[in-house]
Amino acid sequence: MLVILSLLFGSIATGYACKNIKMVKSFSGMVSLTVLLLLLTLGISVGMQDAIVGNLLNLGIIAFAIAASCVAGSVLLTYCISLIAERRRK
Amino acid sequence: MKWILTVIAFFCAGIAVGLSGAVPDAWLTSDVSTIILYILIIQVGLGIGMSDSIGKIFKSLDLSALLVPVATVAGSLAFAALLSVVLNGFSATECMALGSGFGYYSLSSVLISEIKEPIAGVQKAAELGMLALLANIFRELIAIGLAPYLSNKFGRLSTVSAAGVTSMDVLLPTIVRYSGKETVPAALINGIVLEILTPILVCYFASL
Repeated sequence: MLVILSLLFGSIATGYACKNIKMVKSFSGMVSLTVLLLLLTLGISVGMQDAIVGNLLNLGIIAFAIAASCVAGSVLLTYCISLIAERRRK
Repeated sequence: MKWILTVIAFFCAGIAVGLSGAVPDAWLTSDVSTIILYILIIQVGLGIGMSDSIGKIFKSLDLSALLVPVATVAGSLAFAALLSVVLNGFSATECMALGSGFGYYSLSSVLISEIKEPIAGVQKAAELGMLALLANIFRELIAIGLAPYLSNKFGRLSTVSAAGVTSMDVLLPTIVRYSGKETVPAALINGIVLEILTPILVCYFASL
C-alpha cells in the first residue's frame, strides 16, 4: 500500500512539474494500453482457478448487489444533503 | 460503451487463456501484474498532475463544491458496509474496498487483487478483483440506465453522485441531458476528487 501511494503522489508531483514535456505526456497517454494488459493478466489469474470460474453467476449477482447498494447510498445521501442545503438557503 | 466492451473482451480473453492451461502455475505467484500495476499507477498520477483540473480544484475549493463527492463517498461506503451483513464470506472492509471503486473499474479491480494477494491468497484476491471489475462496470451501467428516474425523483445532483468517477467523462453527456448544464461544475469536481480518492481508499480498505 505504501509503495502504491508513494508512486501515486510522487507521479502527481512529477506530472505537475513536467506538464510541458512531451515524453511524459505520451507515457501518461498510454494508460488505456496498460489497463488492458492488467485486465488480461487479471483474467488469466481468474481463468486458472476453477473455483472462481465455476462460481461466475454467483459472483455476478454479488457484484450487482454491491453496485446497486453503492448507487443507492450515494444518491440518498446526496439527496438528503441537497434538501438540508435548500432549507438553509430559505 | 466501446471502451467497456474492449475491457470485457480483454478480461474474457485472459480467462480463456487461463482456462486453456497454456500458462504455467508459476504465473499465479509471479510479479508480472505487480510491475504493470506500478506502471499504471505512475501513468494515472502523471495524468492527474499534468491536467489543469488539479490547479482549478484547489483554486475553486469551497465546502459546498465538495458536498457531492463527500456524500458519494460516505453513501457508497456506508451502504457497502451494510451489504456485508447479508453477504456471506465478505467482510465489511472487503465490501468497502469494492465500493471504493466509484465506477473506476480498471484501476480498482487490479489494485484490490494485488493488495489482497499477500493477505488473503491468490484465489480470494482474484475473486475480489473480478468482483471489483464487475461491480464498478455495473455501477456505470446503473447510473446510465437510471439517470432520468434519479434526476426526477432525487434531484439533479443524484445523477452526479450515482456516476461516481465517471461523472467527469463517460457519464457527463448523460448528466447534462437529464440534469442540465448547471450540474457540469459539480460533475467535474466530483469526478476529479473521486479519481484522486479511489486508489487511496481502495488501498486502505483492501489492506485491512
